[in-house]
Amino acid sequence: MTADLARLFEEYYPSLVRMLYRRTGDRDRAEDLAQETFARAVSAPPTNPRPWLFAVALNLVREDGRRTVTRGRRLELLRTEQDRPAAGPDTDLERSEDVGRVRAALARLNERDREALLLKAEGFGYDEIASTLGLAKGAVGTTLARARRRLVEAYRAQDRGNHVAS
Amino acid sequence: MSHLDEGTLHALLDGELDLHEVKEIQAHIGSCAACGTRLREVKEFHGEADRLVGVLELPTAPSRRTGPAGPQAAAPDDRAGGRRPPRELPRVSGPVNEPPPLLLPENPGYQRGGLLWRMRWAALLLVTVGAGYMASQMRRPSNYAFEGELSPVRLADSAPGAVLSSEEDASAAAPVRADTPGPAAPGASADEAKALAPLARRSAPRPQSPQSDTPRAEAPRQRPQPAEPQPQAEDRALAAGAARAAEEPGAEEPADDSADEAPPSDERQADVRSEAARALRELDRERQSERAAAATAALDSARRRELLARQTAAPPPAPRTPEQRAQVYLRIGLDEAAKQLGRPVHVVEGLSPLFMGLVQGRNSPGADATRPVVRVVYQDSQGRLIFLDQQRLRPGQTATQPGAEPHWVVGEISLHLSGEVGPEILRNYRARVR
Repeated sequence: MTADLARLFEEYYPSLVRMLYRRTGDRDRAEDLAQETFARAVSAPPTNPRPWLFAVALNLVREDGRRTVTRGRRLELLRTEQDRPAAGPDTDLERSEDVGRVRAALARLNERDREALLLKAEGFGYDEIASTLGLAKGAVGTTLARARRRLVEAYRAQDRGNHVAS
Repeated sequence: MSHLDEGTLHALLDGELDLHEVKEIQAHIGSCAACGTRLREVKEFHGEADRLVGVLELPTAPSRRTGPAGPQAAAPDDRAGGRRPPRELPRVSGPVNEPPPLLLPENPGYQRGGLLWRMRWAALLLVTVGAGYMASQMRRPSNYAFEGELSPVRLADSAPGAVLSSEEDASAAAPVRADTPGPAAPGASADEAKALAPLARRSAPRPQSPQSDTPRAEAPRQRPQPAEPQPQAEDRALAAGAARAAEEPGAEEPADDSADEAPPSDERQADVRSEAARALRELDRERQSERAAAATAALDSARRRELLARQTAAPPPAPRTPEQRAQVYLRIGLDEAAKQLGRPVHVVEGLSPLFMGLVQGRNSPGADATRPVVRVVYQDSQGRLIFLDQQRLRPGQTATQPGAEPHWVVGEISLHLSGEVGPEILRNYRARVR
């Protein structure tokens, strides 16, 4: 059992943290949530680990997000973005601007679309996405299509806004 | 067949469709310009969205919590809101939790307070001996006889009376520098004494310890004592005293003890204090040097720990993406793959492709190394990747590299099956390639 959990941890923790970071924008929070997810796996070992782990993690994000809003944690999120080491003034600025725009675009998606997109980015197949999000497999393609289109359109809309403003 | 919806096209690009569905769609796209246009549009969104999500990579810097500031740097509001503290599981990103270096020496004796104990004992011993000796001196009778080991200074101040003549006694009673003792040999002339005086000054031993100085404080109260064998230096000091007495006729009578000998007593007390202070300074220096050594050792230890932490906390290599594992330098869709091959893509029946892409020819055994190879990537239930490589043969190109099994040719297409699974499994997949 311990060996199984260790193997699961080794196999899925990086991917889980990456997905949670993309979702929350806060690395500490992502690590905390990933650890909490594995802690729950200890008490209830999953039979189909990958969808289970990511589903639990996304549930935790949603729960945490509700508390976060009331606690004004966004300030900390901003601080996290500022904490990044500078790779060089221009590169860093461009990168952080790009990250900010992508994050803003991602925030415009509805919860399900966003989660489907993030799971796909972690290499999930349609059946796994369906299993994790409780969707019909046939709906995953449509969900992803909508998510991708909205993400790109929201991102481009910011670009257009920037050009108009400048 | 009706027009293709976006979801189906995304599923197609994601390699989620079965072979027969793919063939149907290929056939439809070949005959429907609208769906062809839509497919191009979908491909654009598909690629752009993947790129945008990929922008949100984990920062390479250590997280605040795992940074050098240690756990104190964690935002307090994380815990204040009642959120459970994280379990102590290892972290893969950023350095591991490393306690801030604590400047404690590694010397166990120092850690147990050995130096402090030694200092306390030394001070206690010093005070006890000094106080005990002074108390014993207070109780002694005034005509206390000096032992031979006492400092010659005392002899110079108080002892010569019994062995010298009245003149000599008087001269001995005259103020004499405490540090210029030197009794003269009985019967020595004034000239001889004069000549010997400088020698006596040079040869007079300085007291070496506070204990040997302590009796000096009592010297003024003591009467001249009967002679006892004295060192030669004391004799010389006495001679010097006699010489001075001979030069100063007014000083034939011994002056009042308290008046004449008080200054030397103060001086001796000052000497005692200075010696004690010197001893304390030495102890202090010793303590400081030991502290410095311990701190240096601790600093070295902290540096070692830091180095070790750096080595162990080197950021773990980023997990390789399926594209990297498959060595695919460009992901392509089904239509592009078909265009590359000049015919429909071969697939493994019953498996859903993870994606398709182009790999360099040299990365596909048996392929023409100068041209790209279309690689269809599958993933089995255990996450292992299987690669079905396909390359259109050039006219005249037939032979393939020996040993690159399973490798075969179908029509104009050279195929090769490889992957992260064993050869037996590959042979099974080989039988299902259509």
